[in-house]
Order: sequence, then structure tokens, then C-alpha cells
Amino acid sequence: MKQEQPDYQDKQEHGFDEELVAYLDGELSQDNAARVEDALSENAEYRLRLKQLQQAWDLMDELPQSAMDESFTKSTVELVVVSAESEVMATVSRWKTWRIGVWAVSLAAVFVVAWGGSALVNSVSGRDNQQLLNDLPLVQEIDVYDPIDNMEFLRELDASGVFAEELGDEI
Amino acid sequence: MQEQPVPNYEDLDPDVRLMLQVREDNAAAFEELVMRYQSRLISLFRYLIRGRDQSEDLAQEVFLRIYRARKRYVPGARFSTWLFKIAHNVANNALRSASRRREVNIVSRSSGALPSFSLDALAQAASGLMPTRQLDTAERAEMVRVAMDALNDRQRMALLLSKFEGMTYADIAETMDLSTAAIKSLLSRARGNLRDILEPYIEKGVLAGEAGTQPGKTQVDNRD
Repeated sequence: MKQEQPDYQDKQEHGFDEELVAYLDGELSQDNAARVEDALSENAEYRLRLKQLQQAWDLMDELPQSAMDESFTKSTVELVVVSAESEVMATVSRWKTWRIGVWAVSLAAVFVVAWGGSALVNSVSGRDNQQLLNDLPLVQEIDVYDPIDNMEFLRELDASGVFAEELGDEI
Repeated sequence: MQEQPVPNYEDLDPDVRLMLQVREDNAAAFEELVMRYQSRLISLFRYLIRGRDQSEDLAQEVFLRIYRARKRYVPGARFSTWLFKIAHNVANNALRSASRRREVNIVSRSSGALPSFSLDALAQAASGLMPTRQLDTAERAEMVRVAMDALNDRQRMALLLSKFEGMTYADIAETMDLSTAAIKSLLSRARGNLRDILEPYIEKGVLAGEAGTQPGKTQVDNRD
């Protein structure tokens, strides 16, 4: 009794070719390969199709392959060297830019700190100087006012503007 | 389900070992890889893209990309699979650029029309006054090349990797970022189309090979 075999006329040609091509490429499992071989032995059209596929495949050997070319190797290596040098240059350039940036920021920070410190010092010493200026008339006449023990009396003299008038004469 | 152990490609593949040396900036190792693969890459691009000058430029682009990626290289496959994956990307970019620039030719690949005009013209020009004369090597090569041009880009790529690199379906699938089933289908269409295009010329005795008893199909299947 004839075994059930894939029929070339009924089966979709693509599915059929797929099996045959995979068989030719050694990509079928052992079981599937055995099934294809059984079909080939029973079906002349199947065998013809296999032969035609193999012939077209073999004709691809007519396509010439490129021979090794030393000048190509040399130019490829040179191209890569140039590329590598460009990478290094780009990295150095980025590093230099970064370094300049760091210096600029550091310098700016120094200026800010210096200015801020100066402003702070001026602010503190300014108050002290102003206080000294206010006290100048008193300091100048300390020998006169020293015997006066009464602070209240001295404050009344200050409030009357006696000390400011005397300071104005001096400046 | 038991997981398959991951192969140690460093042990299995000498080109992987070379690439690991390239990763450590070994220039001699890089040069060796260029020498081993340049012809294969140029041939691949020659039949994928056309034009030897562009083939060499594209091959150099592949090597440049390999060099630039050297520090990130991890051997997760055979070296050739990785290299041809890069080549596939480079080829796709080139083909996209070419399709934007391409002038309409007599035969359009996407339409699936047979290059019968071109092949007939070649066969007749070659045979001249001797119709039964078989073509010489260069003429046969040109006919096969024209036949391959009728395939779509993916069919052609899969066919070239299968034929000239001896890649398995799994390797081609990884290279082209497709499933193994898709590659199986792609290759069967590619080989079926090639057979259909060339068979009439084999039958007539124009191309080498025994004449068949059945005429081939006349419509190229450019579905993947």
C-alpha cells in the first residue's frame, strides 16, 4: 500500500520548497529529513524540484569572490588610526575645556569670597569707626570730663550738642 | 525545561580571541581580522549593493564600527555573526540611501518582475551566431548576478550569508534580527526564485547543468 506522501500538485509550493531547501541545508531534524527522503523516493516531481533547486544553488559558485588586497588592509588600518587620533583629540579638547572651566569657576569663587569678606569686614569695621568718630569729642576732652562722676550730667551735655560743636571746630 | 549551556566563544572561536586583543588596543590583532574578513565583506557588499568602489567603502565602514565598539565588546556569539550583523546594518543604510537616489530602471526589484529582458539579452549577446554555445565563466557569472538582482534585499542577504558564509539558519537569524522560521521562509523563497529565473536557461543549455523537463515559473515571489 502506498504510504501517504506530500503531493507536489496539492501542497502549497512554498511550503514544499521550504522543506526541500531546509533538507538541502541540513536544517531538518532527523525525523523530518527521513520523511523528506521517503517522499523523494516515491515522487518524481519532488525529485525534479530538488534537483532544480540544487542546480540554481550550484550556479552561485559562478559568482567571483574578491581577492585579498594588501592596499585595502593598509588603507583600512590607516583609516582606523586617523579615527583613533580624532577620538583622542576630541577627548583632550573636552578635558582642556573642562579644566579651563574649573579654573574660571575657581577664580570667580575666589573673587566672590574676597569681595564678600571685604564687604563684611568693612561693614563691621565701619560700625566700629563710626562709633569711634562719635566718641571722638569725648576722647579728646577725656581729661576734662574724667573728674565728673555723674554720667547723667554727661549725657545731658551730649544731648545739648556741646560735644558736636566742639568736634565741628576741630575738623 | 533545561537551559542550554552558553557556549564559551572565547574557547571556540579564534576570531573572538583576536577581537579580545583588539579590545586591549592590539593593532596587530585588528589588522589580522581585517585580512581575514575583508574579501568576504567586499564580496557580500558587491552582490548586495552593486559597485566595487562602494563595496570597499562599506567594508571599511564595518571595520571602523568594529574598532570603535572594541571597548564594549563582549563575546556573546561567534565573531563572524557579530561582524555580519554590523555589515547587515551598514548594508541596510546604504540600500535605503540608494533607493532614495535610484533612477527607475527597466526592472524594478520591488515589483517582482523577472529580469527576463536582461537575461535574454545576455544570453543572446553571448551566443551570437551559435545559439547552442554555452556561456563562458564571465558570462555565466553575469547571468547569475542579474538573476540575484531580481531578488529582494532580504532574500539576497540571506542567500549570500547561507551560500558564502555557510551560516546556519540560527546564525543568519541573529545577523538579520529575524526569527529562525522567518529565515527558513526567506531562504526557500530566495532559492525558489533563483531556480525559477535560471531554469529556462539551464533547460536551453545556455547555462551549465542538465536540461530539466518542466518549464520554470514566470513570476518571482518577493514576499519574505
